[in-house]
Amino acid sequence: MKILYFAWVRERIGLPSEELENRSGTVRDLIEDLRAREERYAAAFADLSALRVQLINS
Amino acid sequence: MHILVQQAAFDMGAQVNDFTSAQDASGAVVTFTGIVRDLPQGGLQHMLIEHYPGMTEKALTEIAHQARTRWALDDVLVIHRYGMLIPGETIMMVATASAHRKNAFEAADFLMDYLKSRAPFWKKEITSATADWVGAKQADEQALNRW
Repeated sequence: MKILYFAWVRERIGLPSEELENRSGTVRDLIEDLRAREERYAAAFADLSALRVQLINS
Repeated sequence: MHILVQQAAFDMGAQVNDFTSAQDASGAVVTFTGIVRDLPQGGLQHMLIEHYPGMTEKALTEIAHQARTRWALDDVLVIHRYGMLIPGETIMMVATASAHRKNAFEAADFLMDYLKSRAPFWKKEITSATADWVGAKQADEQALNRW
C-alpha cells in the first residue's frame, strides 16, 4: 500500500509518500504503528484531531 | 457543472457573467467568493495553498454532484486556487443556478461547508516570523451536521 502525506505531516516526516506492506486493521492501528516508529512520525501524528485520512482503492 | 482547480487568478465578474448568461431556465444565480484575509493580529505575508492534484478535482466534482442530487440546480461552478496568495486575493468561488433562489442559496451554503472540510486543500499562513499550517477545525466539522 502507498501512503501519501500532505502539509505538516509531509514536512514533519520528511517524505511526500512511502510504500508499506499491505496490512489489515484500522487506520488508527496504522497510525499508532507509524507513531511508534520514530520521533518524526510521532511529531507528525501528535494531534489526531487535526488529521484527515482518505482511503483510496486503486 | 464546472470544476476548476488552478493556480492562476480569475476574474470573478467575468466568471459570474459567463455562468449566468449560460443559464436559460434559471431564475436565480447565487455566488460566494472567498478572499484571503489577514490574521486577526495582522502580519500575514502570504498564504500557501497545497492540494492533492488529480484527487482534488474528483473530490470537488463529488461534492458538486451531492449538491445537485439534493437541490434542483441547473448548474454549478466551483473555482479553487492553489499556490501562493496574498491578503486580498480571491482564493475561490462557487456559483449555483436554479429556478428559485432558495435552492441556489442553500446549495451554495452546502457547497461551502463541504469544500471547507472535505476537499483536499491545506493552508499555510506565512508571516515574517512564522509559517503555520491551519489544522482542521471542530466548528467546520460541526457545520456539516446542518446537512
